[in-house]
Amino acid sequence: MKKVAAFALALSLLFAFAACNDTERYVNGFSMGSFYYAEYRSSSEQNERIDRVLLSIEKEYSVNLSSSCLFRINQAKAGEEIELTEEEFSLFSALFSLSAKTDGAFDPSLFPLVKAWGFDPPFDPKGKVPPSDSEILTALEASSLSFFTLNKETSSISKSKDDALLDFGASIKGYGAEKVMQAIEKNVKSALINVGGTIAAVNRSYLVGITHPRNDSYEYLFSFTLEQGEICATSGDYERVFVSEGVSYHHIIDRKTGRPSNSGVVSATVISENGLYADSLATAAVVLGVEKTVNLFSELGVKGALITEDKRIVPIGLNIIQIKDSSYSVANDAKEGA
Amino acid sequence: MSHNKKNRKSTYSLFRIWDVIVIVVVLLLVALALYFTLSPEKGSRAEVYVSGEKKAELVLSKDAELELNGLKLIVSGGKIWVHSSDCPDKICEKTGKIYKKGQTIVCLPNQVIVRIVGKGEVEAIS
Repeated sequence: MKKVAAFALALSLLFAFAACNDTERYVNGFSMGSFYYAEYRSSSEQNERIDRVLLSIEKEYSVNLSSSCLFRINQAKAGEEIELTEEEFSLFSALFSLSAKTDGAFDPSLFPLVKAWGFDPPFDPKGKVPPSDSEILTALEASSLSFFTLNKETSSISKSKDDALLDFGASIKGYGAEKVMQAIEKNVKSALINVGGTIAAVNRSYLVGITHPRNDSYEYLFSFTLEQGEICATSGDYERVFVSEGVSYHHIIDRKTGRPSNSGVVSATVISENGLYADSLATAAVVLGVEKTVNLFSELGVKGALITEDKRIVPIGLNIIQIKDSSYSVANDAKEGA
Repeated sequence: MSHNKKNRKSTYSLFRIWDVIVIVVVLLLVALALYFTLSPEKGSRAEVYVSGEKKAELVLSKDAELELNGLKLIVSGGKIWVHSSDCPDKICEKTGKIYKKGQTIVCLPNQVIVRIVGKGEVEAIS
């Protein structure tokens, strides 16, 4: 009898711990150079749906796969017309107009420059050296959206310079997160989608932490609530870095100098219901610096937060919940909503 | 004969002691597990809803005052409460100070709900 009681108690103990876990993590993917996962009560049907969405985006927009429209454009000669599907065409138009709004701080045509610096995928920091001034200049000359023409009537794109190249790496994770959200939101109670750090909150809000840009012994630097239906993306100068002769070079290139940006903003988080906006503008903000970013964000109606070199956190329409590293302070004065 | 009987008795009582120890340990573990799963954790934020729509989010660690929809809310000392309300029944005022995850203050006449959420553990890193 006692043994039965002990067994029953042990069993109830097991359930007490098991009860803590009400969602599971579905990890399957490697897409767009990053791992993706979804946290929800998963079902194989939804899992397949997520895979399908992300893998098809990868196939369409990877610069390295011959199935991709970007691959075809980059291989094309000047004057060649490359046909686009309706969806591709609208993505191209959206990115081109967004680039104009950021005054080129976000620019999908910087790929020649990105390649000259060796930041194109797959990135390997080992033994990298920065390009020479003349190499930078040559790459800069090929880096402009003005070489590309979208033709709505024929739903196609052409370019006027052979070595002009496009790359959607700064935007595509946000696009993917939004597409996954649209694909599953009617079928799941709630879910958190994470495509390589770009996060979508499906059907409920989630508490999200932002990577500490300078000290990875912190799990995160600060946290905020990502509301239902929102997508957040973060870009920082701490990602994809190589060091040469004691100088470190990061992957966010400023087209004004042709070199890694040095605006004082070391990390930018953007929150929007539009995944393309979130992802692309995070890159733009690191290039633009605090003042221009604050203006741009209020113009475009997005929220976010910047982390500066001098350890300030600048929220833009965002409620910062907790800061883990007390040497950082929130600058929530005049800047906000300026 | 008597020797045998004594031996059997001592074996039996030793078994009983271990039985008891095992049960006590298991009980303690269960109590501990229940404590951690069932005890309400302190919340870190209060969400304020008006007519079902989230209007504000207050951090409990930062003292604040908020007036909306006829209610005056105060955050102080890690707790939140309705200081005053223009509603007739004042049930929201009488609810008192709340601070544990899951606790709520409801003002039906003004359609305001205050809800304590999360300890502040992030669910994802961007």
